[in-house]
Amino acid sequence: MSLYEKLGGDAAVDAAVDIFYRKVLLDERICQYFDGVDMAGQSQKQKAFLTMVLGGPNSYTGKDMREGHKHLTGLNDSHVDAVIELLGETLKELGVGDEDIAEVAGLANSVRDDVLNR
Amino acid sequence: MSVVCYSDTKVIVAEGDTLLSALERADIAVPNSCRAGLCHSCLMVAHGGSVPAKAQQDLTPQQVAQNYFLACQCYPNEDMEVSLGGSDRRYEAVLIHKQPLNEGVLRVRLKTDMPWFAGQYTSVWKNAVDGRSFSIASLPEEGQIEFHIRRRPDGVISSWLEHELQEGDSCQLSEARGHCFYTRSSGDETMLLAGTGTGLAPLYGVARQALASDHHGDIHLYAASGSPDQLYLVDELAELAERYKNFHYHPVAKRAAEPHPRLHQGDLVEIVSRRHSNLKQHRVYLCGAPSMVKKLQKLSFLQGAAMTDILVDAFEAPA
Repeated sequence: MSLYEKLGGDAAVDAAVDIFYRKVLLDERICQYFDGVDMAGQSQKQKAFLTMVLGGPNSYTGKDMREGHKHLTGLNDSHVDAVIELLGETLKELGVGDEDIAEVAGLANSVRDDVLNR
Repeated sequence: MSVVCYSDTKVIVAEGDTLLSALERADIAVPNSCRAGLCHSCLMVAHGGSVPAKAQQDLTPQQVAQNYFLACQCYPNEDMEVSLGGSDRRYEAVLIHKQPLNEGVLRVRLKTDMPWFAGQYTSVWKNAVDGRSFSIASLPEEGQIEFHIRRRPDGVISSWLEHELQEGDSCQLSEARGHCFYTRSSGDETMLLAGTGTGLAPLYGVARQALASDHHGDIHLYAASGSPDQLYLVDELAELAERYKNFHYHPVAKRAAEPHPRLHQGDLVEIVSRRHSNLKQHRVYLCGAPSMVKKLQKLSFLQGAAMTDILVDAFEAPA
């Protein structure tokens, strides 16, 4: 059973996205990249990302991740680290265990090169 | 710079220019109304060249698969071959009533067979090409579409509606669109509605639809303007608040010459976010000036409203 199913599927991911997105907007390391973007659209993208790293049904392609981030100037490893950290905090709040969080972080880490366009 | 082929005409689109503007400059008539990617009037199809993702952002997967895109959101990055999408359905409407509500706002009522939800928007067409989008303030059971139109002497559609179109005359409407309308879940949640200017129109519709649907949670409606005399429907809304004890009307004016009981003075964003600091389990509707909508959308979300419970409709009164 995937973590996606264990958490409760689609509706649970909606709740997780809300928690995660609030953290992102309030995090001084990365909030600059989220200011002024279309919030509903951004929320949908985060949902696709969370669904993917939780092992749910997704149509993730590295190309989307690359296209979606290449216009962001100054993006580097520290920003990806911050996102993975906030993702871990979100899952902890939802009662996910450390082992599962480590696995999710691993999956999130696997798109690092796509996000940083290298 | 890209070259776009339309029928037998080749049109040059400069960097940073939309395909819609370039086609208009070449005297090619493309129906258009909001020019903001909302009304979908300028739907086109690409037969060659790739479509920029932004031009398909809000389309259905089926439309995307068929290469449909919006000309007003299309900044071509390579040569394209295009034609009109032509699937925008139009409905006949007859003008029933028009009445100035104050110096700046005209109330217009039309009879039509078009289906709608209070709070959605549609385009009013003066002819095949010139249209403008307006939000719907009336309930389907009222049988008439009501718009609150910003009165502009130079307004292509607003001036035509006020001075040329007569009661009994007909015009055309596009299919109603948009998600900013009332849907009943428990009926218990608190509703927070905030709008600037004629952003009151959709909110007036949503609030009255909620009341007509026996919504029993509190409904707070904030209607903001620059000065008190720019507010409209003040008496109607005050009466509504007297009739329904769960409906609360909060007029807001940025500047007021003298303090007035029941009038909030100051910035709408500041007032709303201060008075409603916990928005868990709230349904939030935000309509009007894009800068206000964006700020309050972010604040509402940070103050606990779920993203799916924040419904927004950002628009500028079009010229």
